[in-house]
Amino acid sequence: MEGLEVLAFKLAVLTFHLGVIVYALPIPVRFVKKWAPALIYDSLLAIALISIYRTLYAFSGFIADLGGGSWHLLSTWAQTALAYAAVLKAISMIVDFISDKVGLSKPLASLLSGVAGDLAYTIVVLIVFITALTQLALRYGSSLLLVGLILYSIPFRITKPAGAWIISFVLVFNAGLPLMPVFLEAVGDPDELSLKLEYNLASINVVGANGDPLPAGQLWIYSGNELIAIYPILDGKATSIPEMIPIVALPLSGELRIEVVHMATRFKKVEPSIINASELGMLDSIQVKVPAIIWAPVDSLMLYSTSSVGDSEEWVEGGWRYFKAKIILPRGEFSEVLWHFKCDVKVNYMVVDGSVETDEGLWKWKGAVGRYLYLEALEDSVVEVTVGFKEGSCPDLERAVLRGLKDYRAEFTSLFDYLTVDIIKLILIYYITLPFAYISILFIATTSLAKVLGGGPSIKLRLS
Amino acid sequence: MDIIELIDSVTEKIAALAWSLFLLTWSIAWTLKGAPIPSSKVKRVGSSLAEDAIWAAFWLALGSTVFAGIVKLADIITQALGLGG
Repeated sequence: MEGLEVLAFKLAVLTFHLGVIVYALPIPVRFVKKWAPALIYDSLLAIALISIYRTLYAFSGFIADLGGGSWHLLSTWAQTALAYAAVLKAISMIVDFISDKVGLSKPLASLLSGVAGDLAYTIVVLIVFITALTQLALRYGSSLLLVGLILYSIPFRITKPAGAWIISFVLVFNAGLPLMPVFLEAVGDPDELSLKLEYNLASINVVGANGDPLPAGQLWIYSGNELIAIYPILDGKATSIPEMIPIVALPLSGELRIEVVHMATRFKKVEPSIINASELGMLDSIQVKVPAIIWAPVDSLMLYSTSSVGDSEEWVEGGWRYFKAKIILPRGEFSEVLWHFKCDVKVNYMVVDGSVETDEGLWKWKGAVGRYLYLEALEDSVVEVTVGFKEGSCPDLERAVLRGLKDYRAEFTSLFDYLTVDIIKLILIYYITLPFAYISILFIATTSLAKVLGGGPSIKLRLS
Repeated sequence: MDIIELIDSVTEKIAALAWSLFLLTWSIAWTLKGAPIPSSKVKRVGSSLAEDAIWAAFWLALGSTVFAGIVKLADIITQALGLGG
């Protein structure tokens, strides 16, 4: 026997002797005398419990095994539940975020986000509670039993109900908690739940050299050499189709390389050049800068250069918007102006220093057609380029940028498909209602067992 | 373990006290029973005291034996269930 066990045993023996002394008292009063058999009975029961508590503990574990339960199963269940809670939380945040943009009605949006958020919160609270119970029953089970036995053995039933309750608690939960997943699988139907985000969600802002958002284009995302996603850029934000929300799916891990494509031009040099997907949190915001794009005021007009830009200015005059920049072109570098053929555009250039080769022509990109002016430096040169367009004349390129897309989630379900009533119902049943009911049943069982062990204050005992 | 020693000494004292109280109660009981008082109430008190005193002596004498018996029984149950202890 160990220290605490010895203590419990000695306390039981003390209780026994107190019972005997009450028997021996020469006081013929029933009120005093009725304690004698009660104390002796208590002590004998306590000694019996102290002798077999290890066996009872092992036996309760054996019952769990018999039913097919295990602690591992429970922890798997808890982890899955937490994953669902995380997804629900994400959905709640996204709905909050986008309700204005996709025109969800306010009551519907607040209901969706509220329900998802509350469910997530409830699941987390329940899991924390169950984890605490697991710790008590599994890790501290033996110690708790000893504490219960000591309380049980203290004379005159001062702490006997508490002791009986603690002993019952350990025994019932040691058997009952590992059986919970088995119970849930038998009662609920978890197979219908397949809610798992296999991707991360992030918002990506694409800006030009001066920090202005790029009005249109496409974002190509590579993992290694594989093109894993093409997202349209609308008003500077990579967008998910069909939800039309400025949040896109990215892989959970791996190094991602990003390219921006706009008007048949591919920009391979962006900052940052590599994004480490595993370092991204849920709904993180990333800014992608394309240093080559000097000016892109509307969807279908763009000025870019492979080299740096000197002074630049922008002004509006008579319904026209102008932009003038001094571009420093080292030998072999080039600059280009692209615009849609419907765009009312004036382009001038002046070679300030050196010499340049020019080319003009047509470009075609995803059904859109336009013109370009191309300048390439034959030696180190400085060119002053002036571009102007009539405001409102340039068409948007939305139809073009929405062509040939590839969503990283293509093989997964769309985010909004998660939020069906059935899914919420299943989460509610499988991760909240049933576990809660089950834990309540275990507590009721604990109280009942405690009464059997003598925790109830109204038990009448007669030994003689 | 100080507390265990304390409990041990208290238990010992209580056991000794119990023996003396048993003798006292036993004498009082027989005194009452044998007293020349023709009251059945007094005699009944005497009888009940004597009975309780005998129970006390019985449990005092058998106490350790009963404990050992319970522990042994628990061992047997443990062995029979094959769960180890």
